[in-house]
Amino acid sequence: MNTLGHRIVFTVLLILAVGALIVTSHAFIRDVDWTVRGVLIALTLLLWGVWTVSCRAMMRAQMREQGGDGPLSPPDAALMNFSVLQGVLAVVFVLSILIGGRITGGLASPWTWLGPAVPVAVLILWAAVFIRAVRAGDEMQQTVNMRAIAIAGGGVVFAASVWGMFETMAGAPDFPAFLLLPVFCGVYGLAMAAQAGRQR
Amino acid sequence: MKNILRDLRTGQGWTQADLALRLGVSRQTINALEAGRYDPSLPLAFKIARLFERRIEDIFSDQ
Repeated sequence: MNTLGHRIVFTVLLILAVGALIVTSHAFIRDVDWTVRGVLIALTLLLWGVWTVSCRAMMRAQMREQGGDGPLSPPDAALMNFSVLQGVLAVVFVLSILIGGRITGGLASPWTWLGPAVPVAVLILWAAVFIRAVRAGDEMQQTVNMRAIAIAGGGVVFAASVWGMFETMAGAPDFPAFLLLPVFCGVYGLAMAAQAGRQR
Repeated sequence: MKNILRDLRTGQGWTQADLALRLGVSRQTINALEAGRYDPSLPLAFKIARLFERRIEDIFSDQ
């Protein structure tokens, strides 16, 4: 498969993986049947795993096209490691919502905050890994990253605001605010993929 | 900004990944530099000039 093929597969998988993450997270909040939750967890794990493999395959394919498959420069290595960690953290995030829900269900009133603390801890870890990856990038990668963050941040805030208006005034279904982060990650990933296509 | 980075690199028999490793940047950045889609910062331009033992203006031009 050539680089373009890898990029198309990477983008489609990213959309599917983020979609699975959102649907699975939502299923836990809405108390969906456990069989369905199990299937969704398995699907999310599978999609993020395959996406992670596709990231590495895409980078290696780009290097082979340029006639080099040797050692990676520090920014390239950091990017590749981040892609793996990102996949792992997405899976841990889903599991942390499961664990958090279980903890809250078994606790009395002043301690119910312990449940949400589990996924929040994962989010803090995710943010730390992300910041570290951005810092490890070279000057061009940091510029591209900042642009993607601006596009994703602005886009998600705009979309959330529009959705909120429909929720408040037109009775649209509630969209849990905690799902904004996975949505941000998806838009950010797509913005990065679009720019990588231009910069490859 | 135009540059002769690709010529200098191929002249040394290096791949983009080789040059990326020597400059401590990503291969993607080397590709963007060679294609003229990204202009380097001054520190990176100096690093490139030192690596090829040329002056910055011999490698990069705004013509």
